[in-house]
Amino acid sequence: ICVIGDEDTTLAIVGFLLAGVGEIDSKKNSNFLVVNNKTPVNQIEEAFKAFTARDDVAVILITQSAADSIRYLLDDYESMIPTVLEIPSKDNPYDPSKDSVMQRIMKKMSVGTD
Amino acid sequence: MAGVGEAVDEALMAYLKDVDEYQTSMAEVVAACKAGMLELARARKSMGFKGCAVSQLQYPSRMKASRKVVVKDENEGEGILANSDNDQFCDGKRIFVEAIESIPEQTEDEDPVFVDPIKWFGVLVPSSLRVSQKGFVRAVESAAAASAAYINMKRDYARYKRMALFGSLHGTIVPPLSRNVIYFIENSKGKYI
Repeated sequence: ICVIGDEDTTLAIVGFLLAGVGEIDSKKNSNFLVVNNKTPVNQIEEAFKAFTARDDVAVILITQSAADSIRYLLDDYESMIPTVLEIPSKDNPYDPSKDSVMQRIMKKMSVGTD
Repeated sequence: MAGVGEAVDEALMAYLKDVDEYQTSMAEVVAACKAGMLELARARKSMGFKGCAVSQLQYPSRMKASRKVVVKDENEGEGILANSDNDQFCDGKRIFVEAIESIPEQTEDEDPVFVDPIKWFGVLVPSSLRVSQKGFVRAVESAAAASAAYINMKRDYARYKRMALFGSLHGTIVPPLSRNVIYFIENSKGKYI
């Protein structure tokens, strides 16, 4: 499980690391990325692409505010594994209308309506 | 021809069931995260130091994950499925994703890297931190269930499309998704807290 989350008050990342999903190997490669307002978008993009390319990752959790920065990547992401799930952060509650998965479902449901 | 129509209906109902499961699991993830974050905020307040007591300053330089997910299909023991969207996975078997606790093995020549994460923040931690840990563990388990629902959703939708195409090629009229389906989706949105 990989996590990309906000650092503004550390809560999302700290929480999931408390649950035991965090991993940092001897080469300092981690399975989580802490995002703050100074983090460049390309760093988030590179982390997302690196996590999705790994064959030992099944689920990627990303806070919705970080997901909004790379929405175009999430909308184009079609693989089943790893699954990308959007989670809330402290200051940004979960909005299902922004969730790429829910948008895809609604788009499919709108095909072929009367 | 009636058989094709029934197969299409079955595939569509399986897809809608997966959508419902996905929304339910995501609602559980959201609720567990909210509860966990609230308890974490309480722990930070009680531990003082203006929030520095519970922050990335306490992270160790090396850590090993003790909670992982296992992906398998209905034939137990098939192992983890590779990254793929090919037709191999559109054969109707249910996929299960389960979050399990897996304490990493410690070899003799390695520095000890596995520690219960709650111990990063001291020996005597407030009970709110332990409650927060349980909340996020629940969030991880619900995320695994949401992941399974998402994978099954994609596979069932692909199966529905193939059945619909097969039916239309053989002269069976496959009606478009009706307004009842839209009603179902819109009214299940209320599950989000």
